[in-house]
Amino acid sequence: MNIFIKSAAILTVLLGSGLTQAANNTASIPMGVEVPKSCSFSNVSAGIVLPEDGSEAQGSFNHTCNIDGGFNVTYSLDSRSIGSPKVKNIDGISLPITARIKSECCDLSLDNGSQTINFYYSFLSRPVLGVVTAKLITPTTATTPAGVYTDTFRVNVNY
Amino acid sequence: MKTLTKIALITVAALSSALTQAATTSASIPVSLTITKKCTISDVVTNIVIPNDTTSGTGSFKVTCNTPYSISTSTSNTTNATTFVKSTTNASHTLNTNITVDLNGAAVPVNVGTPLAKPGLVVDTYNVNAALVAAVVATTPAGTYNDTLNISVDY
Repeated sequence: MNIFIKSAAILTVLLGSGLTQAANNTASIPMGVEVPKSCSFSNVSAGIVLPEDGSEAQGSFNHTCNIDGGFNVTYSLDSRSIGSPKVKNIDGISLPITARIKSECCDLSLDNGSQTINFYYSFLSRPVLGVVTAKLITPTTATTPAGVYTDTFRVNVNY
Repeated sequence: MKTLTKIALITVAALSSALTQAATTSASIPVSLTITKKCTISDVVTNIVIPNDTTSGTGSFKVTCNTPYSISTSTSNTTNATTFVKSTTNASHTLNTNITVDLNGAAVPVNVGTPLAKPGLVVDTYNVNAALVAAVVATTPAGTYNDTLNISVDY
């Protein structure tokens, strides 16, 4: 009987302890944001107007990436895909031109095809200036057909 | 627990894809050259001396255009088909002339007629011939007789 009473008392104490002890349940929700790589252009010249006398004209642009490096930029002239660089009018008459691209390290001719510059590091959010220059190889003459001659300079940032 | 693991794996895969996918951003700048229409008249003979007989005095001029053009001529003394030179001292003294302008045989109108159309893009050399219709005779008043041929190019 004594033993029973003692056990009952201990059980009562344990139950009492269980009813009054603080409880704690925890959970966590991970949160984050993934900023995708991106590059953009700014201050892109509206056009490059070549003078008839063969003097040089230029255009410029900036590209900015949210990555430190590891991207490359390719520069090209549409007309270069068929022969040498030229401006062409609506009748298909063309006038040869010569063009160059200057950006960061390099001053490259676009006369023999597209050019690529690799940007390895230190370009995080830094606008990179590119300047393209072009001119007629020979000035127009009094018998060069009147009209509008065009080509397009293109720049692609690959990242 | 299985479900939770699956969702986590899908999230990781999606993030990984976003990080490694290649992308290109492009821009372009048009390059242009505008050549305006132009015509010049050059090497214009300074003077044509018309002989006293009915042979021709000759001269020439050049037209250079970078676009199609039409050309006509006129004389200062008259707007009619019948042209003449006029005495510098007595305007009533005139001598009829025969003036022709041509480009390799293609006639350019003088005072009247449809302008001659040409494609341009080359240097065109025009010939001018001027002669008296009737030779000077003993009773023709002495003096200097003049006219001027005016050249008009439209383009």
